[in-house]
Amino acid sequence: MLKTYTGSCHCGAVTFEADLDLSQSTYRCNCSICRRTRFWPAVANPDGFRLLTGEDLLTRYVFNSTKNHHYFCKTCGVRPFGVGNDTPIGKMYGVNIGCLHGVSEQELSGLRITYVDGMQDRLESPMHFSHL
Amino acid sequence: MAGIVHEGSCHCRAIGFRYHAAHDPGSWSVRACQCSFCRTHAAATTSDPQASLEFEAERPSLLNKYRFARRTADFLVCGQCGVYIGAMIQAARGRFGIINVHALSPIPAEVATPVAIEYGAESLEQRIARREQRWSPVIGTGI
Repeated sequence: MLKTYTGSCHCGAVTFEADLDLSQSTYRCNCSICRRTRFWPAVANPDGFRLLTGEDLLTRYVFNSTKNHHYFCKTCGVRPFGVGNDTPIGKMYGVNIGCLHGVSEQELSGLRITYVDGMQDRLESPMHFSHL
Repeated sequence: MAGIVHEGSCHCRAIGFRYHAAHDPGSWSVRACQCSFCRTHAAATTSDPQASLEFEAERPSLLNKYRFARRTADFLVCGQCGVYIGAMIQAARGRFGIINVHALSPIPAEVATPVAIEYGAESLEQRIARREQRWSPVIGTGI
């Protein structure tokens, strides 16, 4: 069931609200940016993500196909969300679970994770994923 | 392998490091610090007082030194791609640093599994003393 969460980067400049269903799977990916940043997103629809503050403090980083937009805070470097513009479900927001407020350690440790093979540009699980 | 240099960088390669390891990656102390910064960056860091560490900035204007809480160390973050590569402290005995294992390229296959660790109860003096003892001496003048 969708629930509205608030979240922020580390320094607090960027804040957001996101409507997420944390009973659905979360994601880990092995691509070059996700492996460096250990990005752990839950998925929000475009109308389920609202940036509250810090738009002017976000840097957008793109590479390779440039279809996915990776945003991070200019001050602390934390990436509260990314935007997938051409995914199987259309445009979507990947919201950083590590930035959410009010989610208990117990709840975090119980979240389901789907592993995707971004390194090979595939959504299927890679052969090796336990390190993700 | 002891004596091996492990290179790492942010995603866009604007900033990076060369970690002169003293021990095999399987025996490294890899820490998943539970502070708010390390958790929001999902970082796993390592250091070894017998190793040494060179930071380098291919594009110095993109280096972001982030400080927070007690403001004792510079957390090195790329201004272009946002990746956290490591941290450095200027202490009385010199400069000491850690690297984010996830910024290594390649990440050694046998690298030790991160261990969750909590430093929140330290005093300021204990924190600086720990870093002087356990972090790696920073060499060079790159950053």
